[in-house]
Order: sequence, then C-alpha cells, then structure tokens
Amino acid sequence: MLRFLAVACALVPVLGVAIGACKSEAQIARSPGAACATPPSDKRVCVVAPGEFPPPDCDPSEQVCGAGGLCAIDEAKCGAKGTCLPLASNRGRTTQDFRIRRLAIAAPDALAALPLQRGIITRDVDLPNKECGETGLGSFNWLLRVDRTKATLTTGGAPKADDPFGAGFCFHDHDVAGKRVAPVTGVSLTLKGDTFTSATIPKLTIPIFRDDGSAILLPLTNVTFNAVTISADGNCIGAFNDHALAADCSDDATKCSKWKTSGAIAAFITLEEADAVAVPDLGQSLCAVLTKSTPGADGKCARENGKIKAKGDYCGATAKACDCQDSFWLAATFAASAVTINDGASVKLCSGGSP
Amino acid sequence: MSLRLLAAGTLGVALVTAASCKQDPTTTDRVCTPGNYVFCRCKNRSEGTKLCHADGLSFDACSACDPSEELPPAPGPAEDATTPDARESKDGSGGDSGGDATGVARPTPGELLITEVMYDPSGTEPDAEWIEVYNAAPTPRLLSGLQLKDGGNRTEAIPADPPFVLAPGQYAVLARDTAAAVAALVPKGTILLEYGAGVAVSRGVLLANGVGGAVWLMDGTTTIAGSLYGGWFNQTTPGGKSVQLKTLSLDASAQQASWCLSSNPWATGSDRGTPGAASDCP
Repeated sequence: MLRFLAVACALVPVLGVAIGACKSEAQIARSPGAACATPPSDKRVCVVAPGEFPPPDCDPSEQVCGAGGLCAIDEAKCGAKGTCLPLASNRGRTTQDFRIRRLAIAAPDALAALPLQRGIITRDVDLPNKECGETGLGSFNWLLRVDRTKATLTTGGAPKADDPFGAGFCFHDHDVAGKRVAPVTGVSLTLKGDTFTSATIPKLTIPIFRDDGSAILLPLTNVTFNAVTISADGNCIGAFNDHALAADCSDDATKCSKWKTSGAIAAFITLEEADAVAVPDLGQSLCAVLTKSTPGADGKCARENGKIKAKGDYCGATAKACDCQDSFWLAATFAASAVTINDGASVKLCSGGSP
Repeated sequence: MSLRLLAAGTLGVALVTAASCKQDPTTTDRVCTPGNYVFCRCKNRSEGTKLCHADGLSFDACSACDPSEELPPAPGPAEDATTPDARESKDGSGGDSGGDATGVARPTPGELLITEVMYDPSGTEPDAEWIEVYNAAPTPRLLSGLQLKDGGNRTEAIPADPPFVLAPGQYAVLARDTAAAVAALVPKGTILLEYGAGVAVSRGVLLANGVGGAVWLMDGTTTIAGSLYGGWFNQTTPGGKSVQLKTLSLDASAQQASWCLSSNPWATGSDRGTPGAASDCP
C-alpha cells in the first residue's frame, strides 16, 4: 500500500548514487533491494529485486525439453494443446475470461524455492485431469476478466470447480473466517494492442483451498499486473508446452516449463498479515514460511515487544525496497487460458454473505 | 538545489553518476536488474512500468506516458527536506498540487492524513461509520475530486460542488450518514461531508471490521492518505472505539504502532474517540 512515496521505488537508489557516488565507493547504490534481499536458495534464472517485475516470458527452467507427444491429451475436452488448452473460447468477445494455469514465483525466495513452488503452488494450480496433462489439485484458482472495451479488469480467487470444462468457475465472494474474500472489480488497464498493464490494486485476497474446505488466504497488497499479452484469438496468455510432459503426464519444471508465461504480477505481503494466515501443509503461519524463521509454539513468527522479530525485504509503508522491512515483495510470471466464469448463483461460496 | 531538480531524469542521473566518477557501470552499481521492470509515474498522475536496460542503469520509456511526461521518483524526506510548498515554488510547476477553479491546491501524498477511523461504531453499521481527515499542509487543500476507497476497493468520489476544502491544521469528519453520525453525538460542526447517506448497507464505502479493513484517500491512482487499520486492534461487542493516529505523518500512518484504540468518550454517552479534534492517544 501507500505506493505514493516512491512509485518508482527502485529508482530511489539512483538519487543516492547522485549524492554519494563520489564520496565513497561504499555508498554506491546496488540494485534496489540488494542490501536486504534474500539470496536465492537454489539455482534461479528469473531473479527480481524487491520492487521489480520479472520479464513476462521469463522461463525459470533449464529449457531441456523432450520430444513432445508422450502424454496423451484429450484435446476435445481440454482444448488445443498447440495453444494453451483453453477451457472455453474468448474468440470475438470483448470481455475475456481467464484462469491462471501457471504461476511461476520469482520472489520471495521462500515461495520461489522448489519445495513450495512445486509442492503447493503448482500442484494446487494444476487441474486434477491427467487427460489434460495436469496432475494437480485444482484448488488454487485465480481468475481474470478483461473487459477490452472498458479497459478494466476484474480479478480474484475461485473455489474448486465441479465442472471446469463446462460450467466453469465463479469468483469467490464469501466470508472466510470473518474476512470477505471477493474479487476486485473495475481495475483500470493500460492496453496497448493485446498487451496490458493494470493499475495497482490496493488489496486482494486469493484463497487456496485445502481438502477439508479450509483456505489459505494470500493477503496481497498493491497488486499490479504488468506486460500481460493476450493472444490474437483472445484465448491465451502464454502457451502450453507438451514437450515438458513425460509419458505419465508428469513434468519436471526445473528441466522444461510446461507453460510459457506471458505476463507478470507483483505485490507485497505484510508480515503482520502473513502471520494471521495459517499454512496447514507446513504447520506454520505464512509469516514463518516467508521469513524462514523458527516459529513459536503456535506456528507463528516470533515477536519481541509485540513486533515480529524477523524482517522482510520490502517496506510496504514507504513502498521501498528494504527500508522498514515490514513486508516481502512478491513477483511472479504467469500463463492463463480461456475459461468460463459463471455468475456463481448456485455456488454458495460465490454468492456473497457469511457462512 | 533540491534533488528533485537534480533528478531531471533517471537516465540523466545515471549518466551524471557514471561520468562524475569515471567508472563504467558494473553489476555492483546498477540501479535495476536488466530485463526486469520497475514502476514509473507521469505528470498526469498515471502510473506504469518501464523496462530496465542491459546496463542496469537506464530504462525504456514509461508505459503510461511519453518520456517528456514522466516524473522523476518522488523524493522522500531524507532526500528533500523542503516543504511541499517550497518545492512548488522551486520547480515552478506547482509541484503535484494542481489546483482547480477554486484556486485551492489539491493535496499531494501526506498533505492530508486520515487521522481517525470509526469502523465499528456502537450504532448502526455502516451508517454510523466515519473517518477523520487532517490537513497537514501549511495552506488549504481541496478534497473535491479525490476518492475515498475502502479495503474492498469500493470507491466514492468526493463531489466538486460544493468544493470541499480543509483549512491548514483543520480536523474534519467525513461521515457515511450525517444524521446517523449526529445521532451518535458526533458534533455536527465537525462533519465536512457525508459519503454514503441513503446507500444500501452493502454498497458504497464500507469500513470493514475484520482484517481487511482499510480506507484511503485517493487522487486517481495516487494514494494521498490511508489507514490499514484492519486487524490492528481487537474490540469486544458492541465496539464503539475508533482508532486514532498518534503521529501526524504519512509514514507513521502506515504503522500500527502509530495508532491507538480510543479509550475516552468525547461526550457523555458517546462512543470513544475524538471526532474533529486532535488525538488523545496516551
């Protein structure tokens, strides 16, 4: 939030350079956030400093791919594998609906590292449909509705869909643990041809559902979509790459990316908000996960005088890298494909109201 | 010369740096990661992103405007200690504080502050909700043309007619419904405007009681003031305590530690807070 002070926060160090460069070499500014950013814990191609967006098509894999065609994909059901397995058609529509199919985290390190990227994020984004080349859970559904005429975006999470290929998905609009989790509408887009960048969304909560019906709520602040390119037919943001699939339809994202991304997202997560989010898979709060700190008995971040002891790599209060370090910078690239977004009238979690 | 003037452009600054020190840029002195994007902003208050060049020092044009229309990064307190009005006179452009037909300047970030939020009144919600705003600038500032935005991204534009103006040092209440606020004993004279009278309870700007609670004063996409009060304090039923800002600065307003939960009623039988007056936080 409060991005006003340094909209181009990454440039603030430039000023520092201007003052200090001739005084002392030690005062020469490095890339924004370098001073406090956590070094990648594994070999990483798509690296961002706090305050930055990755290139929209950054491929985090080694790009060592197979011959393709090993995994039998039911294109009649799943959509054309030569494009992006669109679950519906946006062709000719001015309002185009998408579901994110791959979210490749570049920062923070804790989420970008393989165990969480593959073990939770990709697994939960991927659909449970081997016939579509996906062997995930379909429990992390992030939807985008792009109104090309009004140049606006609606975005938010969705519950698991009973029929992703037919009725499709609906925006989650319901209270979860006393907090309304609803889409954000009317976000302004700057459209240049088929590429858009969004205005900043002050607050966006995205649910990731667990088997028991509970949800991990990702508390995102100042969410911005950058350099997102929609295909000419309106059906794809990025592309599917079946050369990444083995015969059993599994894939190794470190070797070859199953999705070619074509858009970037950035936001920040405050440590305080993250500490209120439980990650049942890990028995910790999201704060403890992000900071990679030893949690207390309650699984939450350790505190001193009421304040979280661990530090982030970004200051949400001033919108600057490092600085007060009350937050972590989140950046990712993504691919998405056309999907049906229904009004959710028959889905309790999409119909508003409290449990 | 202020750094604002010095920083006529990012590339310019980078060149100044490199030239004055007679060294080539290396990975140790770059200001961005080549191939990545950073935020940028424009004179028309729009915002976009721009691509970092391979040298790590220069950028493509901002996606939101022509290069000539791009603003340098906003200086923080450490870089420019001059007052906003002094900056206006220096650069001769009126700074970011464009005025309108009233001749009253529009606020830049931090010139107005949200200093109190009654998000959980003991009276009917949301009608009895209110927000207090403070003018920290040395001259009047115009609220008209700004937008109130809540944590759910619901917005309400502050109308131009009549022009809503806040005098320097003045506290004023923005009430969802004046009648409900007055019934809750908020002094009528402190209420500058109402932002949601007659609007359905699920519509308009809503001051949520949960962790998602937040409210901002926006000028387009620029945040002028804000409070992320959600989740900061716990209230027991029936509520009735506002949150108050202790330290009158924009940076402080983003920190929970700079706020307190009100403990004193402002009138006999009232909820707790100080609507239209300075904080009484301990």
